[in-house]
Amino acid sequence: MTARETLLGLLHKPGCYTMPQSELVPLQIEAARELLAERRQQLPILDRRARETGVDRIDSLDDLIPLLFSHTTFKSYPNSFVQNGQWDRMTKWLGTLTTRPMDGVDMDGIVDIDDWVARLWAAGHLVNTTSGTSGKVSFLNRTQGDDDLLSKYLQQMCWPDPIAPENKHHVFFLGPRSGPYLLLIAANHVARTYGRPDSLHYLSDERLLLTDITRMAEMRLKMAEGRATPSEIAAMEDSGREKGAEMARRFADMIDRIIELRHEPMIITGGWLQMWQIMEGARQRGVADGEFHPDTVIQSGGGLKGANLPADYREQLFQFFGNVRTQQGYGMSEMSCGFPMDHDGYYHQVPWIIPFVLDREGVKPAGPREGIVEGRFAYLDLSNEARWNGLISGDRVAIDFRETRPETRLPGLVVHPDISRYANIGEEDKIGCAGTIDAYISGEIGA
Amino acid sequence: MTDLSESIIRTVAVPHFIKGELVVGSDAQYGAFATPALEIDDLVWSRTEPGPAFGIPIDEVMDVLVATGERMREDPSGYLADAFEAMAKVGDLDRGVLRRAYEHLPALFAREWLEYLVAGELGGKDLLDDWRTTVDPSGRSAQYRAFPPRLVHVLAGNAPGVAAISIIRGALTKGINLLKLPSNDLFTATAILRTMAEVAPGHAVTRSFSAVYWKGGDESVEKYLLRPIFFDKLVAWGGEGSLRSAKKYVGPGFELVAFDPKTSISMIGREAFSSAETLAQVAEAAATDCCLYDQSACTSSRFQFIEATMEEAEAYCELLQAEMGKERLTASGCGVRVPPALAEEVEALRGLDPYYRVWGECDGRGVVVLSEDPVDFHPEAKTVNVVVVDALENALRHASVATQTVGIFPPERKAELREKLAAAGAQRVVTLGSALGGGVGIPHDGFFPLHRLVRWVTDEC
Repeated sequence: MTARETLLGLLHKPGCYTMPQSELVPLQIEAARELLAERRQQLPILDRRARETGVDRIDSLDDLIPLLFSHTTFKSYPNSFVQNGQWDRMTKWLGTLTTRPMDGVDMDGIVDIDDWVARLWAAGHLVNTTSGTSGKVSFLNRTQGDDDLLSKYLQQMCWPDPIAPENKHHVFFLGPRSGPYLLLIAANHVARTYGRPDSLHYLSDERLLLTDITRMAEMRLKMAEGRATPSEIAAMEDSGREKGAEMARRFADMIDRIIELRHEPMIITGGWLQMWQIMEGARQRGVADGEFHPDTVIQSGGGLKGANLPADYREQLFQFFGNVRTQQGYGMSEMSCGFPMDHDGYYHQVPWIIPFVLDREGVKPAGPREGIVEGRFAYLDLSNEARWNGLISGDRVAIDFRETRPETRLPGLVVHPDISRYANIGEEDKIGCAGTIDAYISGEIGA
Repeated sequence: MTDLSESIIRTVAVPHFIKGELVVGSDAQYGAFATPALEIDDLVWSRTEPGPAFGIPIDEVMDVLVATGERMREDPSGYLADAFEAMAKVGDLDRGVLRRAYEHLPALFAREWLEYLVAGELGGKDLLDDWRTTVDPSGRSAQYRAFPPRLVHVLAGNAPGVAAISIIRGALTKGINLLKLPSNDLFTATAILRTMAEVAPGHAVTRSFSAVYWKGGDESVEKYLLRPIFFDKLVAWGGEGSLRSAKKYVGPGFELVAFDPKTSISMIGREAFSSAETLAQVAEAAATDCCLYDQSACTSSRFQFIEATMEEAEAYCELLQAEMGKERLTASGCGVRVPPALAEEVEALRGLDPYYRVWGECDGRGVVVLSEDPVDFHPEAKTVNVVVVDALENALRHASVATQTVGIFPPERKAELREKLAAAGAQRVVTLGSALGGGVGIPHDGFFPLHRLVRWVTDEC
């Protein structure tokens, strides 16, 4: 058994998320060596990075840092490929980041980017996507094996006291039914494992379309080239507003349904602001604190994304929902899975994901891997079969490398609950006269 | 603990200059540097009285500037030398490029250049001292003049010339000038003003200047300072963030004069391929334009549109990349490494041969990306995108309101292109290789700067 297989085999074993670093790190170094040797053969871009940075051998985890990429790599295709419908070129691009051959993809008559993604899935490239405000979509390739791991990982909801997957929960998902976002893919796994097939509820039954996102990029290009008309810009803003109104209607209906079923176990998955709105809606309808079934699961995460909630919003929410279960984690769409949160609010390391704390610039370790270290979060995920998954994030975190600590009942490496964002590198207070068309158009479409 | 001790060692003391006097102190900490605590009351000149230099003859103002320039050349007190060292340490610009830029600063203060600036940008020195009379067709006469303004300058720090030219223009208006220092040049403006304070201690012009740092967007300063009761205009040099912040305060009586953030491009006609010698000259000229200040300036070219076949373009790209690795007046041989995110974009394109071809490494010696469509990213740190076009006219759609300088080869083709470029939004057409210009005495970013800085007042019958 290889070191990598050993690490992946820990899933669902006792102590999976609480292993001492003294046992875990040697395994991780060995697994990283195995994986790097194999991936360098498969991915010229990684091989080139290793040669350029002079990474010949891995003696410690920090030796891997020069091999971590930024988000850029996964959206480094030229936008013109999408705008011009050059799907063969897009496929070639994805191929440069993928360990598996891309020749099984049916390229005949692809109509748009959603169609392209569907063809990729049909050929076993289960890509998930993320999108930024710029309208450029990242593509992260996954294999069936990667998806199976995610599905298995999700069968231990509410770790450290997992709920048995018995298909007895009503499922409320505050998002669209399907689409290539990891959150939606995961939600569907959860619904299959825990949900009552007769009671699965989604905010929208439509598939989330990438075309809606790339249209924004197209519009930006049109504006940059001076081809956009004022009414087109207005229509773009209006379509967002109309969608918002429709969602608000459906959300109100969903709150009614949640209230009806509150004495039965359910899983509610959504953002903190949406949870807050559920609470407010329920209170308006006369629901008192603590009426929800104790096997109900509140699944949320992430930050507030600009929402204006009181500082103690979580306390207030759990006072309202009462003695329910919660499933939270720290992660990002690029990771195979998140670091699950323990009962004390700390996020525990998943053994096959090596976390790093880098300096502000994301270049060097912020400190030795001991005690509590603060800085920029980065990771190497050893699980992914389809790609080299080492990434430098924009998150500012504190990681506690100690085996035990007074704050948590469970041992092992943890990420502290307080997570914030760094300003983008270089955007601090340096002023130069150089600029791009973005400065001239961003205001208009509110990106 | 390490963090704290490191930051104490590394903290640089940045002095302020307030109304002709140097102010030192380290009460305000900004990580790597510290400044005296900011007393916002000291940063305004009350409107209840004219500014110190409002009534000074323009020739006397020029005398002060000329003397300042001459002393800057000798720099007996070492102010400029210290500023240079401090800037070089920050390391945004190559040491050699920065040194040559500093060496050029005194020349900007020469009398013939000041005279040329006023004549060109304002339309006559008389307007600064006196009233000019005009008579309209009905026989009604009026007088007008360029009245001294009250200015806040938000400086850019990518080249030290910005500080120098801001001080020159600010002095020539005879108005009052509050300079907000950028974190990437905390020293040049203060060094020049300290030199001025030596040649003209207590002089009205010297007392018309303050140069201080606050963090751009800091509401506790900007909200109270950037008001029409104190200032007439905010003069902002680029920086999307600084313009966005400025926008909040602009309103009746408080105007924005923006040297907008810009991108520059090159257009190369098929004449470049008339001989091997010509192609080599074109590559050198194109490299000069794109490597200006190691591509940190708005005038630095980032996209080059070329009339060529793919094979021709490939030959050109190879020459261009080699030229980009040569040291020149305004460029280093080996600049800073391409930032990681941009390097990843470039590396990704390397895998997309034949649609994209890449020459050079991301090591600071220059990278050339050849393609049929412009790349999505903003090329910087000596990275240039060569885009093949059938005809230069096809490149016009890539010129926009964000386009500043367009370098063209051969120069004879400027005439056919310049009106079309202007219609698309571009502002400046130059012969390829000449993107670095004098920049004074003619329009800049679509206006005559000095003309725009002063307040035009009239006396009518």
